[in-house]
Amino acid sequence: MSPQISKTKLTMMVDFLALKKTTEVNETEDIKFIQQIVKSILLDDNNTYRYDYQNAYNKVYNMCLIGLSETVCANISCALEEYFQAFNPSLSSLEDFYMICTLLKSKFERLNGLFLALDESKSNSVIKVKDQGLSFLRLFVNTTSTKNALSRIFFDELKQIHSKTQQEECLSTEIVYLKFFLENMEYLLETPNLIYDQLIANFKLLFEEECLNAERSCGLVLYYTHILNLYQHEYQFLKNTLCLKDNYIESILEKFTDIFIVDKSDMMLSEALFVSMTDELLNTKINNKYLIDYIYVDKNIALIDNMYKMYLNQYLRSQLFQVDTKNIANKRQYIVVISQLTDVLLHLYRESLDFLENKLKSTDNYANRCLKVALSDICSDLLNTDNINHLNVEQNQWFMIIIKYMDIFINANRDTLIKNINIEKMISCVQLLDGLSVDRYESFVHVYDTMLNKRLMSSQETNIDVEMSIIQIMDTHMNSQYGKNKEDITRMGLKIKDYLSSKKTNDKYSDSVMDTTTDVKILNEFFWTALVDNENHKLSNIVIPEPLKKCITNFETFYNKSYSTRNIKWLYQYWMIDFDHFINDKVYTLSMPFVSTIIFYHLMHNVYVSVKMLKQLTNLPTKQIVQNLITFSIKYNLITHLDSNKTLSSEKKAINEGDYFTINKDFINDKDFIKVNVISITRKEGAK
Amino acid sequence: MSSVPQLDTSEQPRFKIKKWTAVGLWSWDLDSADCAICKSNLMEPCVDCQNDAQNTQQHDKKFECITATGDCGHSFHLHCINKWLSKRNVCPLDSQPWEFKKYNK
Repeated sequence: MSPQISKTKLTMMVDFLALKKTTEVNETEDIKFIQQIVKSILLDDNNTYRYDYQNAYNKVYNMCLIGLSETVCANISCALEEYFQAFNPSLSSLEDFYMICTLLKSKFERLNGLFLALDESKSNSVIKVKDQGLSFLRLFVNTTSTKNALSRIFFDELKQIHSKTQQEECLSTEIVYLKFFLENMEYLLETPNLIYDQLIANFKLLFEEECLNAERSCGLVLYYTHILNLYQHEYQFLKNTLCLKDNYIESILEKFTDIFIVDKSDMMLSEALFVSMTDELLNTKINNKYLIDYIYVDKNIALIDNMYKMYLNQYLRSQLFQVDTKNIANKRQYIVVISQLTDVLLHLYRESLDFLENKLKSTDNYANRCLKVALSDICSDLLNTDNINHLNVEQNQWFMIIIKYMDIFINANRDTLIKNINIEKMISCVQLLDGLSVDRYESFVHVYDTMLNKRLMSSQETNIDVEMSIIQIMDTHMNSQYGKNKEDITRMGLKIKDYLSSKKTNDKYSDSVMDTTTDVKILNEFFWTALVDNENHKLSNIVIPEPLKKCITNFETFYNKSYSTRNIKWLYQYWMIDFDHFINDKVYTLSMPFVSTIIFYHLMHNVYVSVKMLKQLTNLPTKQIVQNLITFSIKYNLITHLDSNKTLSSEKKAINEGDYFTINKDFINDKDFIKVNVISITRKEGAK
Repeated sequence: MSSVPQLDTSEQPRFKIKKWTAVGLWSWDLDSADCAICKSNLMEPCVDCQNDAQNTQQHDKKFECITATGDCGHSFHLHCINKWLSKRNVCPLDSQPWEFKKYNK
């Protein structure tokens, strides 16, 4: 505790002052005199002169010279004992403790100076005398009553100083006493750890009290900010103010996390955990662990996962509320609604994923991984459940909305370069769809495939680059779960490639054909089975007019040159023919399906035709002939409906047996290009 | 067939096609739909190509896979039959000496 004065230096000083000159020893008197001086030092007697002190030193020195060290020690001990027994200082603050220690230290430094001449080698008691002050102080501090008193005082003052430092009102002297107490108690106590155990216990009490206040005064969101501030304050206080060792700081901060975070996990397990955490808070580490590590513990995992799911659900609902799905008047509005709904879901998914992957910090990413599973669960639940979301579109099925959205997305980017397209959205769509159950996955493949067919077969060409990149995204991100294979996705990719190859063949053919534009798609039967329907069978025996037959023959000859080992099966139901129709001194371009074209061809090449005649000429089913004749006459006025007497028929909709049809020579239309869509005939209930 | 009154053919051509939009399906003129070696449909790439493409995510690889027909009339994926022929130079189905008749692409 107190630095010892160098013996050599003191000896030199004594020699210089010539204090050793008187060598006479009167044992009884000298002992009495020494005792007197010792008492006066211990009792702070100001009447003792400096000379007396020097004289006492001489006497001790002389007695030691003649081997009376032990006698001196024995007699001094008595005086010390007497003093100690009467020692009962007032102890009401850490300042008192500081004064007591400092005073005792100074007294024993003086006494040690006085007994410098005692020969330590001669007697054990000499050492004891020199060590008496420290021993005494230890004895005093380790007394139960003193320990209790000091403990109480320390806690009171710690509390005050802690509170003052929070308000930045603390005086440096107050901190000095606190630090002095901690440093010295560690040295004086029989069990030094006791003071730190006590310190930790005291902090625990402080934190508990503080926590009660925080709970009362802070809302869910403010609680986090409060904790962050508090933590930073505590850390500064322990590290810089009290200058504690790291292991003690860790122990105290463990109490902090226990009380403010772990015990209050119910407050932490709110939506604030996922919404209001600032980057500062998310990056904060307490004792080398992130905040979430303290909360995401076994007892809380299920609860946190559920609350996270609830939060996501609530957030989704609140966003969906803003999408008006009830007043869809046309296709345009429908597309907007589908896009808005998907955007809401994608936004939620991507934001959450970003939060879990990049913002939330946890040790070894454990909490991140677990919460990602929760996110994927909630998305999977949404996608695999019907009729709970009241989406009002696509059978209230989220997965259908997403598929529809992908279709809308591809169509909207028909003419956009792939590098300018934000494909991330499609990745998110596919990632979401990866959570589909097995039967839903099959529905997805079926619906997507149908839409893909439609896009590829559409007169407005789809963006092949986008189509392929989405297939690749599916290949990468889908079927990773449940051991599903990727056969269907591979097949869709092959289908697109096949379409491309067919397109190249058509381009080559187009170059070789004059006057006529061609758009001939010859597709792989294996990948395009969906194109084959009942119509094929109905049209298998039709009689094809010569000009059309020529088109077919020419193409087949060309195709055979490149693909000699392939057979072609024509799907007439998908054909469209654009041809010229010269009437009333004007050339119109009529665009109509193959069957309609054949019927119209015969109308153009014959003065009159009846249903029966057309049936003989084309081998088409009666229903199709009637359907087309009604379309031409009623919807487009391209032909005239005559009765069996070849006069204008009074029938507007029905065709009687023996009725004739002829080209309407008075046909007139502002447009040059007329696209003919065949009307469907449905027999009304009760009609004859 | 009853006679239909025809228009005068000396008039200018009445039916002039401007655009022909047609769809057809192609298939190989093969006896069997599946490759007897890898059991995949002959219209699809062979199993090895499908797996390789899946593992390396090289979609184009799937299109390098064509089929071949032997003199005996049996057809296989070219990759499959080549692998087979490296061990035995006979048709896997009828054990006749193998000669390539045609490659289907």
